[in-house]
Amino acid sequence: MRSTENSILRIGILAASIHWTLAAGATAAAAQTPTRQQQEWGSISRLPNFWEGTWQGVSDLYLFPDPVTWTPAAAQYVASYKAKPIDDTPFANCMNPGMPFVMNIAAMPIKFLPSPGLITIYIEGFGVSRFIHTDGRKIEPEPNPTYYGTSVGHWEGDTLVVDSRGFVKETLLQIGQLPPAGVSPRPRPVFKEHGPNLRFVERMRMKDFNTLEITTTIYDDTIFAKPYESTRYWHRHTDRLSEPQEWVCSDNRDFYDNDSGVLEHNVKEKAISR
Amino acid sequence: MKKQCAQRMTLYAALLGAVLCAVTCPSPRAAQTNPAPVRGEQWSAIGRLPDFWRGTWFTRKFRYDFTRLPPLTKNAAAAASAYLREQTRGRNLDTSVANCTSPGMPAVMDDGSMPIKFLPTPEMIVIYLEGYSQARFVHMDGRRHAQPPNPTFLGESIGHWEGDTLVVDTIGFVPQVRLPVRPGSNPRAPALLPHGPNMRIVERFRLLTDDTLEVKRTLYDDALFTQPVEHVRHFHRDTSREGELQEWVCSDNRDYFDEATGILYYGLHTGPTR
Repeated sequence: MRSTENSILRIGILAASIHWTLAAGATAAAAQTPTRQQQEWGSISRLPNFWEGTWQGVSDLYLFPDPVTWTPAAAQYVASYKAKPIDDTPFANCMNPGMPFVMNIAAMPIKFLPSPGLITIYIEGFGVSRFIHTDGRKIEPEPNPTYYGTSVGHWEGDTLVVDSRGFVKETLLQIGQLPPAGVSPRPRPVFKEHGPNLRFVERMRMKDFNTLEITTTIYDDTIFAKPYESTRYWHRHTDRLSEPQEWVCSDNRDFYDNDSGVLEHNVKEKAISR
Repeated sequence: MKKQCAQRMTLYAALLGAVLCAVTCPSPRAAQTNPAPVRGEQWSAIGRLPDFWRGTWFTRKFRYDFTRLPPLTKNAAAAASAYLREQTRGRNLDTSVANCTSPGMPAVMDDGSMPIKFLPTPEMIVIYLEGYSQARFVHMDGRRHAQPPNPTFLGESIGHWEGDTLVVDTIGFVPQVRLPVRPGSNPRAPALLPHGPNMRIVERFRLLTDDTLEVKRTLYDDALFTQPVEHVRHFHRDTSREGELQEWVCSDNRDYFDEATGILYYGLHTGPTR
């Protein structure tokens, strides 16, 4: 009798516990089923944490390690290269350098801003932002040309792979370097207008929590016989002094005339008021 | 019974957790080399906030809003009259976008032809402004304003949530920022005056509907206004590809404003005009 009572009691306890478990589970599920918005934003936390703080570039501005394989025409260009004024003052006219050079600016940080389907990179130098679409789209055959190109990205494990195409002809593209000359001990950069098929593939990954590595492969069949690859590094900073700030080119005292090739300094002193 | 049941569930949960963890939890060694994303819960929390984030926002009302004339101080009224008098004589005093600069706050928010986008992170909400390619950094970490803040075109912004309303307090503007105080004969060319030292903007953002964002803006400037000036502006959500953020580069700085002389020069690009 006692054992029967115990059995009934145990069955009752088990039934009650199953019921309670199921009911509690159902209630919790109803209350906690994340919305699409919550799922999308929550999924960001499962990605490599590019997002916290800002990244300060630590690689050389004119980084261009050898070897590089130019096309014959580009090799000839380098051999007879004479820097144009705009090459020495690439930022005249308050101009943006465009890709890839904008990523080389080391004095000011960059910050990654993730959102569903889009990763924005704010680049404090020149106060610009790159928009990397991560919603699976493809780059259209003839993207609207811009200084920073049309970018799509996807993750390969812990690496963000960004493909960019469609650039205006004014982007600042370093294609090589010459030995130091004059007072500067530094190699002299060689710039050249890019061809119609310019393309960058960047592979971004954290080597450790505080080190971001970006390996950029440059495709331009008018310049490089083989795609050229270079790797740059950024260090993470999370202090207030390193937060992103505003950047406005408010003092465009130099003016470069694309038509005449003349660079004028301090145009405000030469200009004539109407 | 409930206690037994709870104990049992705790045990089951512990066992289940141990099994799952054996499969999915990273080893301490893995944690050292590839640290787990931090602030994961804070990213999920963004999904529970009012959805300002999806798509971009366009305003349809013109940049300058004189629905109600702001009450001007005596000095401001005199300066506005002088400004409009000069304008009538054919002199253009609107230097707000010469030199490839930004008009600054609040006008930079209100360029209806180009969208804005909210990009939230756990510590700040970035508002990207396609017009002038600028980004506002609204700090959401409970800090107070710096004393005094580093002056910028967009000011130093600190935000907090009051229910479903994002409240943003902004101070610290560069002298170049001009405020519209009186409409001109051309409604697009109002009298623009330099702001005073105590200029401050408080914005209250909230969703009226899923696709309509209301911004109530209170503008404080005791040098110009005898009492705070209030504006209400609506933004409309656009989730189409045409509404996505695009690049904006000021690549044609044909006008130059000389702050020393107060003279605005035109046509530097094509040669000065008289």
